[in-house]
This record gives sequence, C-alpha cells and structure tokens, in this order.
Amino acid sequence: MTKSYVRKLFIFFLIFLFCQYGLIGVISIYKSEPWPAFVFPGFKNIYVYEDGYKFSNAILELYQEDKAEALSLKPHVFLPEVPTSQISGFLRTSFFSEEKAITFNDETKNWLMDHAANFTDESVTDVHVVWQQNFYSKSGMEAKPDSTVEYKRFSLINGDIEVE
Amino acid sequence: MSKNRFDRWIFDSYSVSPQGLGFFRIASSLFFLFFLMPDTESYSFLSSLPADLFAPPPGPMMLLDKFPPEYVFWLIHSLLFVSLGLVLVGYQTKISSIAAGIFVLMIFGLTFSIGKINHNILVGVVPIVMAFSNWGAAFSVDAVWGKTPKKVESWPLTLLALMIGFMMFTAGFPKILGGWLDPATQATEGHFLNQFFGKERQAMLAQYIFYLKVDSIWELMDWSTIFFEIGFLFAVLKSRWFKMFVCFALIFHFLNLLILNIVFSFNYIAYAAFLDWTKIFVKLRGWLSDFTKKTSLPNYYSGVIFGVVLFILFLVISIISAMDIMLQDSEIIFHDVLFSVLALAIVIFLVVRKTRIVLNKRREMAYT
Repeated sequence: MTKSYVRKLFIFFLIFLFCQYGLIGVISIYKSEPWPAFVFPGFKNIYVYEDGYKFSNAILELYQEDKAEALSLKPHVFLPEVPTSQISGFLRTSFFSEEKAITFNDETKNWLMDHAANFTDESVTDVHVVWQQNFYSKSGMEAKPDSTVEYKRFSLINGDIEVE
Repeated sequence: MSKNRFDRWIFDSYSVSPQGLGFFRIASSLFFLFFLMPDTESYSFLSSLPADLFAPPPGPMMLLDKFPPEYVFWLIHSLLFVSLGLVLVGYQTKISSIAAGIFVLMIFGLTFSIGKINHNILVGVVPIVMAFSNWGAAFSVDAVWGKTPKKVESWPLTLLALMIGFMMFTAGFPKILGGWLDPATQATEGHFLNQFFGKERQAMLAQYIFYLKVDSIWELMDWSTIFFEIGFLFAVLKSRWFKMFVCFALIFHFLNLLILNIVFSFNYIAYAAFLDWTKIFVKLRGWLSDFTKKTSLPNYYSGVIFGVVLFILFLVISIISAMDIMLQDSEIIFHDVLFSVLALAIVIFLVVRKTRIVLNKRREMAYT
C-alpha cells in the first residue's frame, strides 16, 4: 500500500467514524443499534427516581392446565441459552410492545409452548411476560428492592389479556 | 494539523519489527482460539428459534428473514477456526487474517440477531487491521517459503488506536447527555444496582460495594468514567498518551469486573497490540541464549518456543476454566479473572519501571 493510499484511508476513517456515529444515533431511534459498528455501549440511563433508583425487569409466568397458580420463572431460567448480557435486550425486542398485545404466528406460539413444557408437569396453556418496575431508596441497606410494581403484561399465546 | 505532522502521526507514532509483530500474531491468534471463540452451545438453540424471534440488528444480517440452520453456524465457526489456525502458523497471513475477521463478525452478527448486540467488534477488527501490518513477516510459513516481504508497517496500529479512541468516545458522549455529570445523580450507583438486582451480578466485590452509601465516591466514579472515555479520543494523537490510556482502560475494566461483574476480555486482544512485542522478543531470545549457552540462535527458535509455551499455558488455563470449579455462582469464568489480574499486574509493572527510570534520571541530573 502506498503512503498516499494510506493517507487517504486515514482521511476516510476520520470522516467515516463520525458520520457512522451520527447515522447510528438516527437509526437507533427507530430500530436497534446496527452491527457491525464502531461504537461502545453508552449506558446513557441513570435510573434515578426521586430519592432513589428505579429499574425494570421481566418475569415469565407459565399457566398450566388444572393449576390455578402460574409458575413464575426468571428470564435466565426460562431461557438459559441466552447470555446474561443479551437476555434483557432479547426480551425487550421480542416480548415487549407499546401496544396492548403482542401477536405471534402459530409457529412461534408452538415453540413457546414446547419450550415452556420443559419446566412443567402439566401441559402449558399460556405464557405471560410480566414487566415490573423496581424501586430502591438511596439509603436502603437490604439486598432487595423496596417495592415492585407491575406495569405491563402480555399473553404470548392468547394475545389480548382481559383487564378486570 | 499540517501535512507533515499528519504523516508523522500515521507512519511514525509506533515502531514495529517483523519479530515483534510475529509474536503478537502468535499470541493474539492463540488467545482468540482458546478464549474468544463464539459459544457453540447457542447454535442449536438459535437455529431452533422461529422467524418471529429473529430480530437482526440494522446491517447485513437484515438480508436474512430467519435464523439459518445449525449447520450454517457450524460452517462459519469451522471456517473461523481454520482461518485463525492459518493466522497462527502464518500461511497466507494477510488473506487468512481478513477472513478470520469477517467470519467472526458474521457469526456474532447471527448470534446478535435475537435483538441485542454486544460491543465486541474489536475482536473482528484486530485481525483485519493487523493484516495490513504484514504481521506474517516472521515466524510464519509465508516467511519460510519466502512468500512475504520483510517490510512491516506501523500505520495499522495508529488506525487501530484511532478506532479504539473513537469507540471509547462513543461510550462517554451519551453519558454526558444522559446526565452523568449532574452532582445530584449517581449514575454509576444506579447501574451497579441495576446489575445487582436486574441481572443478579453479585459476585466478586459486588456484595461489599452494595453497602457503599457515599454519594461523593459514586459521583467521582461518574466523572472519572467520562473523563477517561472522552479523553481516549484525544490520547490518540500521541502514542505515549494512548498507551497511558490503555493502562487506564485495563484498570477500568478490572474495576468493572470487581464491582459490576462485567467482563471485557474481548478488548484485551486490541490493547495487547500496543505492548512492546519487540522488547519481549529480544528478552526471550536473550533468555534462550543464556539457557542454551549458545550466543547465536536462529530467530525462528524464539517464535516456535514462544508459541509452544503459550499454547501449553493457554491450554492449562482453559482446562481450569472448563472445570468450573471457581466462581460457580456467577457467569465470570476463571480465565476472565486471571487475565484481568494479569493485565493489572502488567500495568503496575510498567508504572513501577517508568517511575524508576524517571527517578534515576532526576538523580543523575542532580549529580551532574
């Protein structure tokens, strides 16, 4: 590679790196972060809420035939194949919506039912994903959130959930 | 920056030698093969996922409409393995390095198509960029067969530094926008609690840090994180500054491991490019000469012995990691801790050595 070519390559990268960053900013608003891209995680959120912190998480509830109580599972238990670094992103992308319901096709519903059956004795009738907001005060000394509020719930099999 | 300074920055910031680059090539490809290969256990799961759950990140993966069959994962994995093996022995080094980088970006692209990417792009970038340094000029099949010129290039290191510096900047800039510098918010503490409760990352020092309720210390962490990440971009201008920031990065990652239980081993391969590998080669050759009582050993001896020793060492470490006997309650693996500690030890060694040099110089000046 000649020196002149290398110079041009550096000029290209000096422009490209900033341009792609701007583009990523725009794309990320509408879609997720692109891959591959020359960026590191920003961790922009600060989770601050009044005199404490709030952060959300999800749990999965498996409803079985002839059982009144649902079986609650943490995401990494329900999906142990998904690395911890990716699981919340995975749930947010596929199991969360600003709308009232998430609609999957039959193939996905069957996959979810089969997957859920690995954790139960009875056949699974529905899988709910429950989104919770956890609150923790700054002065808290206990290793658990002060309070937890459910703010979204989706039925992944039956679609709409009737609000009581 | 005048044209002359621009040229000096590109071509003279770092000094390299065929032997030094050869050592880095061997070390990085072995590190990659033992510790950075994609997790094969997820291939079967990913290929079983229905199309509804295929959420590719914007980019080339959007060309697909669902996860490919499992054999495609294995095919790319095998191609990656073979190309890394070729980089290790230095056969068609330039092509195999670029191929290794592309294959790893492809396979990570597929595994990130569940709707969340990880920021380990440097794993793919390092072999592609270093391919242009002619890092196969020594200790390689290419060199033995005379298929590669002896001349090596240092500008790929400057380019790699630019990429790392810029990427660090992209980590710091959103934090400023997000309010990390506001004294009323302790963002690091928020992230710590989010990891602690949300992801149950409670290993290492996390259980103890949990009781750290001193706002000023958390705020200091917020500010120092931003200064470190933004400053990295400016450090790119001088190799001395950049190496200093790489040392900061190693300390930063070590603290992240201890407090947030987040592992950054995949970045180490990029940071390692800035070690003085020529000095390591010269030292090893000196030790070998002393050991064998021969004054002039052929150069390739050092390369072969370096590769074999490193292979055995990495093999032992990976066996211990696979035994899962340590840190069972967390996702942190033995080698993550070991390499973080080792990196910190290197930083301490470099700081002590530099301090001694400065003190000696001052003493000499005082005498004269």
